Amino acid sequence: MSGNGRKRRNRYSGTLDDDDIEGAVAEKLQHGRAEETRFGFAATVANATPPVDETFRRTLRATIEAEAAQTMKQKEKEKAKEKELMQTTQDQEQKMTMRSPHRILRLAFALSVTTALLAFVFTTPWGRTLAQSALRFFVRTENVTFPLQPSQMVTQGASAPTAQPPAPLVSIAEAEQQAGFDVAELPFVPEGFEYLGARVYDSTVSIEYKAQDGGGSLIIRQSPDGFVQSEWDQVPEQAIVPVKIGELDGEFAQGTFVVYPGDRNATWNPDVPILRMRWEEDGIWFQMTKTGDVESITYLDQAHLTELAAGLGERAPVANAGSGLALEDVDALARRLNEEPAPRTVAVFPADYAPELAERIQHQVVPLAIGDNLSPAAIQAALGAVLPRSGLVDVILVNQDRGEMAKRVRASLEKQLYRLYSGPNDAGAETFGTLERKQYVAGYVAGIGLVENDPTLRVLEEPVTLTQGDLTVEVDHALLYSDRTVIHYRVESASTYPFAEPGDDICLEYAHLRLPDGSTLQPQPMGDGKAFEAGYEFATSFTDPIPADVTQATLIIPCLLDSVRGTAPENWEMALRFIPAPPDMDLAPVYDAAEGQTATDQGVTVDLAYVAAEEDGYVLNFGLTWDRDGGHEPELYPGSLHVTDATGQKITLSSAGGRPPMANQAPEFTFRTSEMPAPGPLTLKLEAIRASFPMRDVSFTFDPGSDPQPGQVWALDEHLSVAGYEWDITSARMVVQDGGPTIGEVAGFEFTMQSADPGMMVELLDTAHPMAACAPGFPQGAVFSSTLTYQSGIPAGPITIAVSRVSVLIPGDWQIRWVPPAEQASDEPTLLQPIGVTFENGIELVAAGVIQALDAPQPGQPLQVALEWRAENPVDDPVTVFTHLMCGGQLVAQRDAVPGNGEFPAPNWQPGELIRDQFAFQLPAELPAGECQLQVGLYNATSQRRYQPLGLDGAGHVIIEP
Amino acid sequence: MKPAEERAYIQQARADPRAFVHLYDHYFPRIHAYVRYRVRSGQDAEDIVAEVFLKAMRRLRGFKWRHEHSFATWIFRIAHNLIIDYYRRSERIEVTLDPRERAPESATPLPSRAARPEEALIQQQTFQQMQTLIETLSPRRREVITLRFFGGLRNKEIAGILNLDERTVASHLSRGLQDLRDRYTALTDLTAQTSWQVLEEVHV
Repeated sequence: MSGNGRKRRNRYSGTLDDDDIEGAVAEKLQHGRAEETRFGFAATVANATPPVDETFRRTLRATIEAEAAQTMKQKEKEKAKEKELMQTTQDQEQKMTMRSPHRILRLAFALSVTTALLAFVFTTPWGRTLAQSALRFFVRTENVTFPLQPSQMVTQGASAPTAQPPAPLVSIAEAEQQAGFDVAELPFVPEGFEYLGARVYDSTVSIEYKAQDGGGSLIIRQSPDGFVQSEWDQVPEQAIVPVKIGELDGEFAQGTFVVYPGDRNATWNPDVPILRMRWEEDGIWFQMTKTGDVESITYLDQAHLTELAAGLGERAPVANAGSGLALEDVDALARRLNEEPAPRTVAVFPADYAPELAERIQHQVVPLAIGDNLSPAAIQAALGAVLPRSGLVDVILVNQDRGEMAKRVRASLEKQLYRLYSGPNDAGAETFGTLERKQYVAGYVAGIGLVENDPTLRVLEEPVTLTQGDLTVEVDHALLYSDRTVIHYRVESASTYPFAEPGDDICLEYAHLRLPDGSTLQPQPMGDGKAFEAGYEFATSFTDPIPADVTQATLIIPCLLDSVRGTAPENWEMALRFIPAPPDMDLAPVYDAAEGQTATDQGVTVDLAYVAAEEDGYVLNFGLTWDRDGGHEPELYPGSLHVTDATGQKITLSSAGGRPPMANQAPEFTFRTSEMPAPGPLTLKLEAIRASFPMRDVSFTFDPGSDPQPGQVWALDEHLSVAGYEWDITSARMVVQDGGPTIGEVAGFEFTMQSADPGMMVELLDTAHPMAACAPGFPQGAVFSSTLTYQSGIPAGPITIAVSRVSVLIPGDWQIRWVPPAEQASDEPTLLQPIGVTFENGIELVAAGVIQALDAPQPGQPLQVALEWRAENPVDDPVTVFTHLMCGGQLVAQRDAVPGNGEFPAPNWQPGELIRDQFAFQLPAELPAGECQLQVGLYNATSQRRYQPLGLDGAGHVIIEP
Repeated sequence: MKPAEERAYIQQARADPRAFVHLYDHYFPRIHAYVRYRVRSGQDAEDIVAEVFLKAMRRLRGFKWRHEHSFATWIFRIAHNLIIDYYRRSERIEVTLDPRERAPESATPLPSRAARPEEALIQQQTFQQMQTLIETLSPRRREVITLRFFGGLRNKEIAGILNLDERTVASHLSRGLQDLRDRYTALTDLTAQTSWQVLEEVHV
């Protein structure tokens, strides 16, 4: 007995069979109720569901979300720790931009061991020897390899090398004050670079630039005390080139010692794009280091470095002189601009001719008030102050150094999603550029991110899949820009992916591309990926483009990342074919957030930059900045965050990449909603932000005695303060931990601390002794800990422990509302109708309104409703608002909820406070004929008793009519 | 939730526990109903339900997906074990011999979402009556009935949780339901003129 032809029968008699049970349970689960006429007594049982206390259900959900968020925070903290290590490496030597998911990071980590160790010896006092030879700036070695000490063999996993964190970036003037000598500066920012600032390490000042496109850096170190020297720093004799820097002698070398995965020796690699030049002038020792080989900085070779070095200390030219334009020049410029039919904004710098130009053109003229400070931040601020958020913008730069100025403006604009096109020089000495807003980004692809609107862009003709054994690789995206290439692929196992564990022989080789002529494109050493249970996905970037006339290439994956060598098929070769990006390329649209979509609390500003609309969710990108005094610049990370949709539903967000906090750049974060929110406005809510302060000048001394024992506890009474945050170190305990298969057992100390500041975590370092690991613990209330372990046993005391990082949680309320463009025209309810009905419990329905006209509701569409409530006196009852949409006398939609989807319970209202409750109904696909009206009322959630509206003759609700 | 969706959420929740709320939303009604039928005290039942989900979220990495019903089996096994612990810990007696001696638990809340208070009342009465009847069954049949009807599990999955043969589960189910129906008929005859009549009118 099954199917639609079931017999109708008495519910309490007859035979029970399996079909009845099966059908009743299935129907109950699917539709919420089983039909008793079809499934008899089985349906009666299935329908006897116990009632659910919705408050409990919601509270438990919130508890789960909170615990999950806490767990995630812990994971993110671990990831952040790894990122910080990477960042240290980058800041010191590489300046490479990367994003680092957990598992893939392990690969990146292993690859970066060399540079981490380099950073270690460069920056720690014990690695420094100061003896210099007058004309021998590099220490020579006859060997091209040297064996690693056990302490230098670092495995991925628990024990990480602990490079000293970078000093904070400061101005040159501050650096001079700290270091105590006059610091020589370059007269201009070298082409292709962006100025970051200076860092001070004891008596050494490091002036730092990063490649504008990422992937490279230029660092100028100068010190009266000579160079840091170590075995890592030595150079084979044959790699050293004597050079003349002006009248001075110097030395140049390219290459460095590297450690290949699995190798126990460091080997000199002359091809690594690290170029160093050393010289001495007037008692100051100089080292200029260029790293990276991205196209924009390849020009900076030995000759150009020598030229730059010779110019160090020259006075910078005055860039901000007047335009010097004659009236005929302005006329010529005006004619040129008036040929542009589309309305546009014309931004001019300098602005001395702006009034004359404004009289002559049909477009809006705005002056750029950049002033004398030509730093990227100043340019960005000037542009941001005047540029519109959409539309066309022409930027006219007159009498500026074309290369430098244009590049800086471009770099600043690109951060704001503008694209700068080169234009003709029509009027005298001007440099002309056209900005096109909104066309810079073509769309968004999951796994890769924003896709630029490059007219030469080519893409994969079709996805390519290859299966070997249980494993399948699918190359699903390729983006072939005119200047670089990005390939995204996904690896999935039908059973279990053979992820390696510490100590395994791990695959660390990245995929590369082979072109038809046999040449290869090597990937950037870092990629962007995400591991999941059965595999991983990975976007690998190539700094080289695939030539425009090459329409195919072979992706070669030597081995699958993070797998155990020999356990998975190797040498995957996949033939890819490329076509011009079709006009209807399947990209998620990207919407810039409107101007002012920011939220500021506790001095921290969250700035929504853009939203990408995927089919099943939104991707939100935002930045964090903190306007604070005090000298300590923290790195900021989002804490608890979620999105609330128009119905008030809370939607979780998961990380979709983004740029971690970096010097002189506002960090940006990209998160994706776990599901597609209901139609209507979204609200991005952050409830906490973590501020992490890198430190270098706070320490305390601790003496464990001559014979410390595991488990021994020392009472401490140290009160420390950093950036206005204070904490006490109350005890230390000796611990012994497993430091991993290479290092073995390691000993150290766990310090217990407490603070009144929420969520405080402190990272401690002993910079005088080689450490195995440092691990701040998570706070348990006001108490927290930090553990550090040593590579070579507990050193003799007293020990100086430095505070290397302090992070605190900043609770607050940041909310940014964003309206999908398609709905922006009607994002606000129509004018609220004043209602003015007071219920018997003293709550007044002040006003109400809906977006759609109630006389013509659209079936299947959301119906957005806004209600405004107020109570003149405190309300203690658990009040629930019910809203019924009645059409043709039938109930077609209803909502019962505490205002604000539970966030504004009546007992929390302040007397006289206006409470706005906005939500959306999803209307059914078919609506009954007849007039519609909203019925709004209140009831007690505990007793289920309705509160009567006063003066409405016991109707039990207020009617809101068309 | 389709099996593929469930599997995807499980994978996602392993990487990002915040995705676990999808599994919570899907399984809450079933877990709640099952636990509520097994534990008389509403407050204790809620405590157990909370523990089930928190434990499942914390242990998700240890769960191995084998087939489309394996997660349901796994989470209901957690619930089953917690209920056993509950009775063992509190030394409560799980069985009440005469249901008519039991007064409905006054602390049981009415559903606050109910649009009409009378519907909430009916739902409450229906549940209490069925709970009282189910409590008259033997512990094994009670377990099978609640897992089948309120947990929505199949006989094979129930067999896995209770360490029984699948045919034994089918037998308990059939006989348990028969017992339940007989007692239900007797009880409705006794209470024909009570509020149960309201329930009848609604169900017909």
